[in-house]
Amino acid sequence: MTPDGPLPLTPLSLAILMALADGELHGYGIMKAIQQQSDGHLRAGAGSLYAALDRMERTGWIAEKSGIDAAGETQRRFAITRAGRSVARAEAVRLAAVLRQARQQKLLPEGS
Amino acid sequence: MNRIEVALVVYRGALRLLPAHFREQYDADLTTVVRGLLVEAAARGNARLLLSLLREILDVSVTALRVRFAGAPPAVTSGQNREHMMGFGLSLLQSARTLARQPSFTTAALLTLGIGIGCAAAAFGVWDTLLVQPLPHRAADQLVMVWRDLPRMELPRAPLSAPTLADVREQTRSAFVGMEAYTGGAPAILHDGATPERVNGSSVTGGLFRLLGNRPRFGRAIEPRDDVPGAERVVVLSHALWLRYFAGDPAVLDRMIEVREQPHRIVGVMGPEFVFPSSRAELWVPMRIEGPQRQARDLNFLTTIGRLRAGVTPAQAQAQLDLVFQRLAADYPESYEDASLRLEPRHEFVVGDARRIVRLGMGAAALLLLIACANLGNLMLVRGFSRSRELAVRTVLGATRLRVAGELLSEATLIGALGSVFGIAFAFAFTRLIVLLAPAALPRRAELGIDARVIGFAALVGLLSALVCSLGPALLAAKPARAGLATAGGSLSQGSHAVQAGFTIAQVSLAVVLLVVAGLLTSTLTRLLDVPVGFAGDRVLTAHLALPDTRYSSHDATAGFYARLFDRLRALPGVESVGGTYALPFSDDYASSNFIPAGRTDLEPVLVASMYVTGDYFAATGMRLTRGRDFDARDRTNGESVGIVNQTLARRFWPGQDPIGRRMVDPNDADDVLTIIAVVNDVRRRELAREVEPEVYLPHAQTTWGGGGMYVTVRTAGEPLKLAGALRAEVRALDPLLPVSRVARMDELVSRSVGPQRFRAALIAAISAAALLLTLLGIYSVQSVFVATRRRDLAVRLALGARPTRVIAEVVSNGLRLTILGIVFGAALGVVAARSVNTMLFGLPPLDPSTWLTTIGLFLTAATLACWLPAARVGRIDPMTTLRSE
Repeated sequence: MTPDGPLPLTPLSLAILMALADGELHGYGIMKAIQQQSDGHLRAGAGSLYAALDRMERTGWIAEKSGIDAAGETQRRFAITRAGRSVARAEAVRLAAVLRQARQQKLLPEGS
Repeated sequence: MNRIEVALVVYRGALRLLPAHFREQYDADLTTVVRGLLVEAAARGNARLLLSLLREILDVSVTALRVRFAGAPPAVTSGQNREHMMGFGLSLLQSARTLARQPSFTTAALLTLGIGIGCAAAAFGVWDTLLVQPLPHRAADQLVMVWRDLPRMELPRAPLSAPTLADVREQTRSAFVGMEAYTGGAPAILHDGATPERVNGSSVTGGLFRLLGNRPRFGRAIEPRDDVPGAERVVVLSHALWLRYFAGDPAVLDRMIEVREQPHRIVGVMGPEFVFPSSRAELWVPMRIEGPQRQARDLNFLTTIGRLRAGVTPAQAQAQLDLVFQRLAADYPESYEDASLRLEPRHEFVVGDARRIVRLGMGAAALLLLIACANLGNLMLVRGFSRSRELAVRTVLGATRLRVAGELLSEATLIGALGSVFGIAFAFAFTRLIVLLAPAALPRRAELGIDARVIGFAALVGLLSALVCSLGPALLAAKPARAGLATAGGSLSQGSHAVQAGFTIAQVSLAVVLLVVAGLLTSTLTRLLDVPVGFAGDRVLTAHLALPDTRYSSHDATAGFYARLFDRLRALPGVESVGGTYALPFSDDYASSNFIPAGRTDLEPVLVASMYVTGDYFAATGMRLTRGRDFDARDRTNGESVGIVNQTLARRFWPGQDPIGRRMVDPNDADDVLTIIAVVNDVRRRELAREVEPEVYLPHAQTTWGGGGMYVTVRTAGEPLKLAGALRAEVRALDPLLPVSRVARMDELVSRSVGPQRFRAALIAAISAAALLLTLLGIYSVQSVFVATRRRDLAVRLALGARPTRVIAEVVSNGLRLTILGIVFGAALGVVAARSVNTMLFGLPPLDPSTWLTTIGLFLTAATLACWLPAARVGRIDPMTTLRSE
């Protein structure tokens, strides 16, 4: 995989990677984290979320850990992998470049 | 089940859309996450809950399409991957977006279709499981029942005696692979620490399991070596009993349990699919036919099942049975008079009685589906109308008709697919409800569920209905598009109006059919429950005790136990009187024997039901002696045999005379003479719809029987069930090993006896309620379109000074015209439908005027409201604004 092969990421993938950057989460936790990060603008259904998680796990960006939650039910927890971290970083760098460009073209006020 | 759980059942149905590998991996997680979301949404109200559920289902559907079509969710990878998707898949996604933008239309369409399909799929599933799928035995179509048919006694399914079975088996080997037998009544007593429990079992001949071809889950089944005299006593457990009582412990083999008061060794556990002969049997023991039973040709107790040889038809086997029976009848004429042997497929025996209710349910579900389709058609028309300007603009801008049609097709497909998902989810819920509500008599309940066939059926019906109902109207709506933009903002074509009217009339008439049938079945139920039963069961606690012969071998021991128990019970606070009987109304079978009035050998003997009673049975159950005295201390074993007859018997034997002091005798046993000491009021014993049969009550003190079962009846001042604990405690104090079973309030027995009628009425009433709702929705939408399309005309008339009330009345009458036309058609169809359920009715004719008038009146009232609500909007039209905007 070339560093910028998978870029740009979809908003959902980036949001998932960012949600996992702070540590392992299960599905519900990811969903809440995504909502929080985006101030409620980004919202994924459970089906889309797990489809994305499934795909990202197979690409090796995240890894699955099963655990037992408070209610005693087994529930998958997901963690970001080294590859996932680097792809998220690459996307962030790309976005930063986009922002810089936007500022140069006066689409975005400086410092915002 | 709370609303969250119900919503989750629906959601889990939708999960079936996902490819299996994906679903298996994630369904638990998805459910957990969605449960969290739903709990959150539910805190903000039911509307939120529903919205969240719909959003998640839509999301699963779209995900399923992505995962299936693209093999990978494009959500993760970059945008251009979408190009690789198949054209139709893309078009579906496009349609999904369109539908998602119109949530109220989409919700209405999917709910409509979902309810219709769900109901039809559940009915299909029940029909398929009960009537089409073979019974869960090897080559089950070869299994047949062999009965003695006794037409004169109206007993088409009488059992065989051991010598009969042996002879028939021996002489029909060319037609039958084997012939085995079973009986009910192998009760076991299980001790779980403190509380003993009674469990029903079945005794079977040694070859029965081999004949059925069912293997045990582990251990071994009953084998031929088990039923020879002197063999070790063994028992095989049902899966359910093993789980319930032994917590699924695999080390259960070789443990001992007590069956019919004898220790038996557990040798095997059957799988969950094995239900035989009915779900009441939870264990099986080998039958021990010993001594006189083996020889007695007239002791008929064996329910017999055979397996036909491959290639032998039931008719050929029946011919051979006839031949053998002729020979037997010639050899033993006194044993076989007025009888014949009758073969009946096992499947027919098990499910035959359920056929009517299944057909009824299927018919009602089919009508509901048609109504749902008509509704969907209407919705599509209305939507086409509201989109006609958009379509017109696009046509003018160069979109081909084909392109527009393609889009409509893909939308219809999506609606069909999503509707099927809803339908499958509803089918899950409906099937569970059926299992929960169905009377215990419904056979094969354990097998009911949603399988691949039901899902396939739902998918097929969903797509077909969506295509048929949505495509036609949609094309119709698209048609005037080219005619020009000028008019496109406004009206539906003439054709569309006609189609809409047609849909409405069809809906109304089908709904009327369903409502009428529901009304008739409901009236039947209330009339049945109004039948006077002859006892006052609302304050009577009943429970069954079975004193084991081993510990209560004499009559004195038994009578002593009951005397002590009754004394203790009478001393309880809130107890008014206590009695007991061998046979409670609406419970078990009871003994019957032939009687004639003494000295009247010229009369045909009459079959009289006889039951032993003890204590203050009549007082406890609220029965009344109309003449004579109750049993008392005078009625001892050595005294004169006495009986109390019911009014029916008194009228039959001694019409117009006083029966007190008269005698009746058993024509076959001259020593069996009863002197009548009283007459008691008639009591319904078997079914509420049946005539009361002649009965005689005998004092328990005069029986010579030892143990046997006894129903205790306790009359209480307050709620009887509150005394259940005290009753158990008193029994335990006297005999800690004696189980107390079938604890109930006596009127519950009556209520339970109308289980099939109640289920029928509830089933059709529920389907009719859905039909009514959909139909009202249909009428409402027709009226809304009517008002919307005539907005200009109406505004002009209002501007010219027409009174709003008059205009409203005209709009309402437009809707009512369609409704009344529908009711007329519906009534005509309803006559046919009502006649076809005639045999299910009690106490009223199919054309019962009050039921018909009430039903149609209610419908008309609701329909008027549905016509009026949209019409009322006319009053809010501001003529000037409306006209200026044109």
